[in-house]
Amino acid sequence: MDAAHVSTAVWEWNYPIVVVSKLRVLRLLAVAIMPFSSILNLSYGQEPTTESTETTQLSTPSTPTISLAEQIDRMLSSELEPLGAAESEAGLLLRRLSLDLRGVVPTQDELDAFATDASPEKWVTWVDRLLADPLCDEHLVMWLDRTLMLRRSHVHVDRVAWINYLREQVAADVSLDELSKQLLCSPWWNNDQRPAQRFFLDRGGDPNLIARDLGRVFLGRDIQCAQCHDHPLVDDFKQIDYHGLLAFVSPSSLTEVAYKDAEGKDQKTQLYVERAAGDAPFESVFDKGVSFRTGPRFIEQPELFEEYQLPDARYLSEAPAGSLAGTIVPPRQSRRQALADQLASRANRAFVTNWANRLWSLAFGRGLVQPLDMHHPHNPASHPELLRLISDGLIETDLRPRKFLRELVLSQAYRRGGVALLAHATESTSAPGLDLIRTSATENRAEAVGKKDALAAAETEALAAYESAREAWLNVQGERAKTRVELDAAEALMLTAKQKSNEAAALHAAAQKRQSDTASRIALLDESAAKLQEATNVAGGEDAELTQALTFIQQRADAARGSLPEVDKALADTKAAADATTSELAATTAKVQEVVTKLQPIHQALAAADSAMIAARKQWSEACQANENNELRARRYERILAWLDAKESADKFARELDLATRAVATLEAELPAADQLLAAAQAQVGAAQNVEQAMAAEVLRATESVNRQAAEVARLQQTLESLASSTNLVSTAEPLVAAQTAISTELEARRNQAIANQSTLDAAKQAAASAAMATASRTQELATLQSVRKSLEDRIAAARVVVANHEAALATAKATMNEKWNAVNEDNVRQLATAPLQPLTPEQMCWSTLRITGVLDAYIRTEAAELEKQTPLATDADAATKANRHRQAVRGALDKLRGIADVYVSLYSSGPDNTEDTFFASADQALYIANAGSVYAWAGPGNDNVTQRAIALNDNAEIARLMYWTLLARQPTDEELKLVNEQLVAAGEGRNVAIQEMVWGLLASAEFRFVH
Amino acid sequence: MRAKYACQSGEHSASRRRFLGVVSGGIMATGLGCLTRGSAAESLRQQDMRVVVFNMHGGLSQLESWDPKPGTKTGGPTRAIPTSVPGIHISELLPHTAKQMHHLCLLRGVNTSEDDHGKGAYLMLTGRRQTPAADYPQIGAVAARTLCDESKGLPGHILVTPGGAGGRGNEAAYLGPKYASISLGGDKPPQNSVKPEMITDQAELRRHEFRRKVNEQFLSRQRTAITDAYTYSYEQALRLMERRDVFDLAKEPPTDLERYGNNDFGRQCLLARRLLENGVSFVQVTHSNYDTHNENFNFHIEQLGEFDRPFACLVNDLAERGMLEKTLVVVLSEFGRTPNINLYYGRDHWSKAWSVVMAGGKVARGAVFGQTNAEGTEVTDGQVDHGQLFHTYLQAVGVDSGQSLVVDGKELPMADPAVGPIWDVLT
Repeated sequence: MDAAHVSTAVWEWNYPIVVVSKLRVLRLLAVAIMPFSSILNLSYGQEPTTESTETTQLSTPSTPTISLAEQIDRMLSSELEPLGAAESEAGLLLRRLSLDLRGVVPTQDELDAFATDASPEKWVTWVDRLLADPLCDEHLVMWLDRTLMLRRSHVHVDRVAWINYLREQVAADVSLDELSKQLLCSPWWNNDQRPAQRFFLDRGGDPNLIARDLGRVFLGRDIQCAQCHDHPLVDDFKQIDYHGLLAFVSPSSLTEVAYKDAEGKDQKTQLYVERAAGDAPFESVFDKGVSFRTGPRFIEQPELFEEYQLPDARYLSEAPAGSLAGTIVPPRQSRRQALADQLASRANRAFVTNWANRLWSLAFGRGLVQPLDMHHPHNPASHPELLRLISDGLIETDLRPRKFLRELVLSQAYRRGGVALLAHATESTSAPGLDLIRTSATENRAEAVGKKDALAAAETEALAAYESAREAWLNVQGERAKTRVELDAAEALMLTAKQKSNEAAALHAAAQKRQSDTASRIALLDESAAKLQEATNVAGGEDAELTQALTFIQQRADAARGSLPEVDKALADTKAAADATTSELAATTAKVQEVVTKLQPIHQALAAADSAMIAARKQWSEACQANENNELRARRYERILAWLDAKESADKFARELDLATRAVATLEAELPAADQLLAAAQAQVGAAQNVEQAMAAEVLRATESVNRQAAEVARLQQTLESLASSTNLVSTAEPLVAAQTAISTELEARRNQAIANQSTLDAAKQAAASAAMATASRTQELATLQSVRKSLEDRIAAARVVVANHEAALATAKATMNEKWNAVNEDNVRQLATAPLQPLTPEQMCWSTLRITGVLDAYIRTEAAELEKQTPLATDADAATKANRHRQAVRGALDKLRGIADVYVSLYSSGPDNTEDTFFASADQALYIANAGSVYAWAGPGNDNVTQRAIALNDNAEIARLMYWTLLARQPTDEELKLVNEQLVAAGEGRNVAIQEMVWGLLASAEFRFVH
Repeated sequence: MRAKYACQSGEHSASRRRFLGVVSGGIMATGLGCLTRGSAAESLRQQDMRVVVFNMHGGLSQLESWDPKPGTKTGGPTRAIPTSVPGIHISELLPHTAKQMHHLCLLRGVNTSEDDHGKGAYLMLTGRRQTPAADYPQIGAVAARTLCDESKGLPGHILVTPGGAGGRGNEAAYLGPKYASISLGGDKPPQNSVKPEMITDQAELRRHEFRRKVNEQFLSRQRTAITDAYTYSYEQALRLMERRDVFDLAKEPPTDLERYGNNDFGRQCLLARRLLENGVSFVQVTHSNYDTHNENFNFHIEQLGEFDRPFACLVNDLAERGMLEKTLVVVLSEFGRTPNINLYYGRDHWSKAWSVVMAGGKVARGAVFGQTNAEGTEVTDGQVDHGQLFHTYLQAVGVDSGQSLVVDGKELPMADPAVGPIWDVLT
């Protein structure tokens, strides 16, 4: 297959891992992948072929030499996603691996060593190294505890005993079927294996709860809602499934047993005691009055028919060795044994698939079927073929979790990162290959849509077949129920007969005893009489008292002999009565046997109907899954196309925004020229105004001058007139005449001057008028230019509004695009093309925080030192001894720190009785991290932790790199370097505190909270 | 083959109604909204609806409180007094509450058939009978989920109990711990709501600012609903720290404390008022203990003497402040007490015919629904059970109780689908 080769090549090319710019790798990959349109067949949960529908037994892998990891990659490479992610960068990859395998982040030293490891076997080496870490054991122990007990509290089995029991199992690499068998069927008649009984004991022995959890934990099916009626939302979960499971445990219950211990002291204990079973009827709440019965049966498996046993043969003849004195003898047919044998069996596909899916989820962050307890046709596996493959793989790895996990994490698929290729590639406006994606998505959508009707019809048809098979089976069920009622009645008669027979036998025995007593009495009396006779004879018949005694005894003997007929009759009567009851017992027993015999063919018919129904159910289930997966496939392409549309729209807005922005720039460029013109016009107006002012001053001056001359003329004239009157009075006054003449002359001159001045004034006035006109015209010009500029400004403002509108539109379009992308990415995650963003579990949060802050490793060191002090290791101790010592130290440290883990569990887990912890974020979690004091205090320098190491550094960039590397397993970006630098510079003297604050801030960050 | 989900039965059986007082007809509302879907939650949150539940722990005697039977052989010495609603009488042990009767609605026909404390409390608070393999969320968790506006920075589900230390409870079942209760005492704020002393005010601002910036960097690359929820929880925490005084009773005027009574229960009621006023969507106040197998009458005089005034004050204040329209008040218990008086002048567990009280929200005012016979030994009219009551609480604050809540993609009916609300007591 071309696609497979190409993509494998791509992955190989990208390996071994080197720390290069992620973006560059992504770009290269994007380019490398794009051209191969064949890859674009974004295969979605392949429809089952006729071959694949076949399998409850193992399909043998075509080439057994190929490892499971490789098989996974082969299967997935043909589904390689162009929209998926490339391999994670080194640090993030090790962080993920370490969290998945050990439940804790790597140390800085491990990160350094991993990043610089250039060996071609690097990945395998590190996987094996982490798998061998005692923390991996502890992680598996916590996983098993969480999975099996759903965070229930310890009531009947204490925590230390339980954890140590699981530790033994994990250390011994016990297979999951073996472990499950232990949990389901350890001897319950004593406390020798009490921790193994915790599954039942700490569920209070409640049959309904246990039935539900058998379904959830071991079969991946939460059928609780089918307790009272067929599941309202999940077609596949039937009431009969629930009651079939219930039947395995309904004969068992928690019982208090009093016994004496080895020292003879009185003790009490609760045992999960099993009694002999009948099969209880159940009624559906929706069909009152319709009663069904079922014996033990598993979902998708036929009912187990037990051999009928008469009541007194139902229990073992004696208690097994080691039974506590106060308990009962176990039943001959143990349903718990049947449960363990049948449920925890490699032939039980649901059991194997459940564990394969759970372990897959442990490594990949989500199951191929999700939620983990919702395996049903309407919730098909994202990759049905892959689920089949890994289920077979789990069997090949002998159901050993560590061995199986190893294969999963060795696959290339595991190493895919959390950021999809195109998320980056498409940030540039022209991403290559988008057209190809569109074309192929359109084709694939059309194909999926085209199949819809046929698949839906196939499902309907299969459903109808299933329904009719179920109907047929229900009919036989009805028949069986009736016969069972008959059996109950016959059994009741038989029990009554049995009781009567016992009573009659007792009476007969009494009569027999009476007869034999009487006979022996007569014999003894006769014997005594003979002896007395002898004695009387010896006495010579003279002892009257002796003779009297003899007579007395003879009388008694005669009396006894006289009662004999009556005694004999009583004996005969009771014998007859006993014989009658015996034959009645035999008759009723025969009746029971008869009904039992009658049940046989019904059971056979039921088994046949059951098989037919199971087959039909399987067909329907396949049809349903095919239909569902096709629906999902259509939806996936729909989503891709929607995202492409959104992207196009965003691109369009981006282009328009660009144009609008440029329009603003163009207009803005016109501003300087307009401003220049405006400035020039303003200068001209100013100049004209200056001239105008000068002219006005001139007019003023000339007017003043004219007025002054006129006043002078008037004064001279007055003087002249007064002189004229004086002359008339004093005609001989010569000097006066001379003065008159002089004044007249001056007057004449002044008058002339006045006339000249007037003309000057007129000229000035004219000049002023023309200057005013010039100013007006300049002002006019200026106003024109101003309005031109105003209009330019208006245009710029309008263009800016356009820009703002486009910006808003672009933001909306981008938000839409992100939303669509998130939908596409959700499918990417489902398709295993991208690693999911997964919250750390409460335990991972706890241990990782304690590791980062140096607390965890300090505790381990302390424990090791303590152990060394107690029992020093020999200097030449072998590796295994040393490893064991280390394991003890790790266990001790975790036990001491478990109280802290409990706080994290109380804050971050979903609480008891949930199959998985679902993510939620609440204020009290944040308040704990922020204010409880412990987290901040741990972030202080000490224990050679990151804070202490950072404080020892001088270079701010080095500090930033150390913190980001240790806490987030990646290098800081330039902005982040700047951010850290700013904090340190601002802190000045308070540098150490600033580092502590930053370490706290990183611990409290979203990036630390998630695996990605 | 999908099973028909029970949209039938139940609620219609309670259609005969017996009302006293101010309630008139025209109450029958629309049918059970089984088929309606879609999120009305948003608009509900904007409407600021709230619930306060008084849990009369141990089993309050209906005969000494809401349904007295003076002068009968079961009535004991307790007399009945008139209330603010002509024709409705309640026990003389509740004189202050009697004056608030025009706000209240008495349901005297409760029959829950469960005489065990634990199981009774479970069914009254969850609206379902306890089954071994299933667990249901309590009313507080459902109210928090449907009514709480998270942006207020306050927890949506608060239990007020003496000695409550701010820890998280476990009543939310499948709704998840987010809706579990925070329990508060009279004067203790939630846990960890003060910054550690070693951190200065300045440093506090600085470290959170740094945290935000670190997040910005990450979120610019990977941003989903869950990363948002996580970063938001820290802002919620900070807001809660700012709003710490909401939990500080000392901020209430001393005259109010005087009015409510400066004792444990008085303070709890005042705290409940304060929390409701500040927008907390669900508050449950527990009053202990009514399990009066001995000396029933003396104990009820004492207990109800403590209960009466603060409770009446709260109802009165809610009404006066215009909050009653938006606040449902419920007084419930795990069951009532036997009409029969035992040798020790006590009454024992009794769930066949007892009373629950509601007020506010859409609940009819000044009303009585349901009736027991003369000696209180049987319900003669308007019989209701825990499931119907649970539906009714939700409907009273505008929640369509026939809807399902979607949890992890699973649709889970928020109240028992086999029954419906008591429409007769809803306006």
